[in-house]
Amino acid sequence: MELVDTFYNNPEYIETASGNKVSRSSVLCGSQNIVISGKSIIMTDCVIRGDLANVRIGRHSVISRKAVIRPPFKKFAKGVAFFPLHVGDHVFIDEGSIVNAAQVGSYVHIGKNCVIGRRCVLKDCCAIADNTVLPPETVVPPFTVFSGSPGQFTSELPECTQDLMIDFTMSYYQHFKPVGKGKGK
Amino acid sequence: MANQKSSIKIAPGAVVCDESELHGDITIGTRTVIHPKARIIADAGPIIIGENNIFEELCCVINKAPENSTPGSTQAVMIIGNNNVFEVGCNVEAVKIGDNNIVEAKASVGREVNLTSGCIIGAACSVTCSEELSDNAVIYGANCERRIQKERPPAQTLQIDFLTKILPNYHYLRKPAKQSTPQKS
Amino acid sequence: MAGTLSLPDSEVVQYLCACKKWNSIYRLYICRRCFKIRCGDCVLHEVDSPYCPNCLENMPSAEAKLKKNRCTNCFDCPSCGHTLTTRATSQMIPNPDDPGKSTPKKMYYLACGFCRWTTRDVAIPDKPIASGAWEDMENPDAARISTLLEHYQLLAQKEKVEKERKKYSRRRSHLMYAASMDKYGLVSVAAKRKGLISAGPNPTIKENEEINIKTIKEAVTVEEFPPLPDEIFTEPIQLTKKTSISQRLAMSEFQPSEAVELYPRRKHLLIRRSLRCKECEHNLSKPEFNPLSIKFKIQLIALLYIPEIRVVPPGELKYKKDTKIVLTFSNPVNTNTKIQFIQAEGNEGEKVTAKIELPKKELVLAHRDVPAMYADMPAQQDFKDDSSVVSFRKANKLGIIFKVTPLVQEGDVKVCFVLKHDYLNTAATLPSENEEPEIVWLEHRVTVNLGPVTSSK
Repeated sequence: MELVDTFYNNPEYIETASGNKVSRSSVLCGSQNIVISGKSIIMTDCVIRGDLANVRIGRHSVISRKAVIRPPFKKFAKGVAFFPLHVGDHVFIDEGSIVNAAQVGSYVHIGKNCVIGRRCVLKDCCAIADNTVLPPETVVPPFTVFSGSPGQFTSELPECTQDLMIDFTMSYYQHFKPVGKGKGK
Repeated sequence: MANQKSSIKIAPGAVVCDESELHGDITIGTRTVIHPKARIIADAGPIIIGENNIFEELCCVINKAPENSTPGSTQAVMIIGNNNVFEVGCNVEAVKIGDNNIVEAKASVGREVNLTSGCIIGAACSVTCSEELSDNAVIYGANCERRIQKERPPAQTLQIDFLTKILPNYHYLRKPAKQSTPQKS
Repeated sequence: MAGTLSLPDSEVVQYLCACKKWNSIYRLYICRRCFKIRCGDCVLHEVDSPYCPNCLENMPSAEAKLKKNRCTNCFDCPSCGHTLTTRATSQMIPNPDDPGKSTPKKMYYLACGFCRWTTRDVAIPDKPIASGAWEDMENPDAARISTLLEHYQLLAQKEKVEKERKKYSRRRSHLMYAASMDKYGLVSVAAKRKGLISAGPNPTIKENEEINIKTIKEAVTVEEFPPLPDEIFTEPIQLTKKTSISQRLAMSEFQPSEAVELYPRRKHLLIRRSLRCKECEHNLSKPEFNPLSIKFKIQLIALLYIPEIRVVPPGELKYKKDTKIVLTFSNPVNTNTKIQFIQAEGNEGEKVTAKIELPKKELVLAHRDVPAMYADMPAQQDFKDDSSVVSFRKANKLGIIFKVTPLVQEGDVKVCFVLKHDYLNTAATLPSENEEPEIVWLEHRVTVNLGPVTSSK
């Protein structure tokens, strides 16, 4: 199926010079520590915890409603440290998912209501099914799908995953259109 | 956000972000950290929170009237002990919560549940029946399986130290009620 | 599920594979030598390298086989199946020089971050080194398994020798079987011509060979089970101390019933594989060796060579009413592609529930221009499209109008047609020959499910 247009209320979103569309009702804590490379969408009610550590989000990524991006912490002999969180390009994070990972590669799909535990590493071209709970420090290799609780390897992704994710995130951005008054393009 | 009936007592040394949502009669013990966007709602009675607790974003701790209650019935006081962690997006209605418990992300704990001490409610697990969990119980997985841990989970003192240092740099805080010691970062 | 996860297995648009199976384009490959579509079921799968999904280290297949396809460093939790993590603690150890004092020493144990199981729970002592010290439990049936293995290896060897020695006697036995089923006497004639019909299998050779093989102890059927212990009737069962069925089956060699008998299990390896065309044995897909890489040395997937068809969600589809629908065709290659449509003839197992009227003219799909895609400036080319056929054109995508008449009153509206497109075969010509690349026309049979028909009420 071709994607259909999703409309948003124009005054609700800010479009940055690099083409990011960020909802005004998202919560970006420590925004000076959050880098969003461009053409990414941050939807309403998202929480991004830049105050804990640096967060970097690549190009053409989509963070859907009510998702939480939160750098993970690790305990050491002396004190704790929050690690920076990197999200790659062409990543789609669906509604209500909590991402506590250390790294999310590029071309990754995270389904609805997932919990990605502390310091998980999601490599490029992998996918997490809806309602999955990835326990802390899980590694998700390329071309695998993890699902369940605890999230485990369940199936493989086709070789064309990279092309699919590029196409999906780019057309999502193209179809994410404003309605109503306000400063738009 | 300031509710007319609200009476919020914050002990010195607690870090309560202003962006959190607090309603009703709430007492917060020292060195407790409440992240932005956490919700603590004392609807049906007061909530008393002990020391060294962490309330992460989007967690919802609510003292809710039982469904079959009559309007004039006695109020239940919700008491939360020390060293508990309420992770991102959890939902807690339990009136009796002991010490050293961890309610993980997206977990939900019903009103009738008695969290004794050292209990871990795993990510996305839901416990709603009327029961008293034994000490150091761990509930985990898609089917809410149970086991008893030998040791109770370690206290998050180091994380609290770190958070009390870092959060005031990024967020406005609610002042402790008694201005005996001014909030230092 | 939304997005890309459901797409590879969606049944909205399906292409017919050369092996007569229907598949979505995302699961298909194309052989550049046979010019045929291949699917996962009609290609040869080869193991490139086994790797551990946790530490992502790969090892040669032979080594993996020796280690029973399990990782040497990573362990799964026997309680919930999650990967165990190594934790360090310091223990006070009495100093050998001065017995009165004790020195701290780092000790390691394994713990599960999900169900919080630890090796300490089952009284496995902590190890002084971080990895490699966790030995496997001895399989109680190891001796029996190895004798059986040896026995079957010998048998296999013998069978191989026999096969090689009397290749044709095997063929005869086939013919013998066929002869017994033969109604028309043709097989026996053929066999006679080959001079194969003779007495039954030659008994002497077999007996000679069998001397080499020792007879092994036969398996004994268990007829009686030990009775249940008395406590089971008198003591309340503590479920937390018992193992679940899945925990038991995960340790198939031991199948412990008590939780204290759980032992860390070594993590199973995954594999990277390459695919080969079964007919011409050329590679269709060959990933990079490194399990972290998402690049391919060879990637002949259909999505990169065949126009991808998608459905623009149609409006109402009514029984016996002509409706215009739009399908989009995306050109994956960087040359313009001509496409034509042909009515599908015959039946290849598809269920057609609607008539489709196809554009008669040849259409051109613009080439794919990746830099322009990112730069947001579609390089517009002038194609002089006929607006009665073309709904829209956007970069390498073309929306084409089809007229569909549903022939059912309920259920999904499915149409079938043949998509014909030209394909510039760059693989067959060698660069030294300086020849124009060959243009081949490929035909693909396609079904499209347009969704349920709207009830006429």
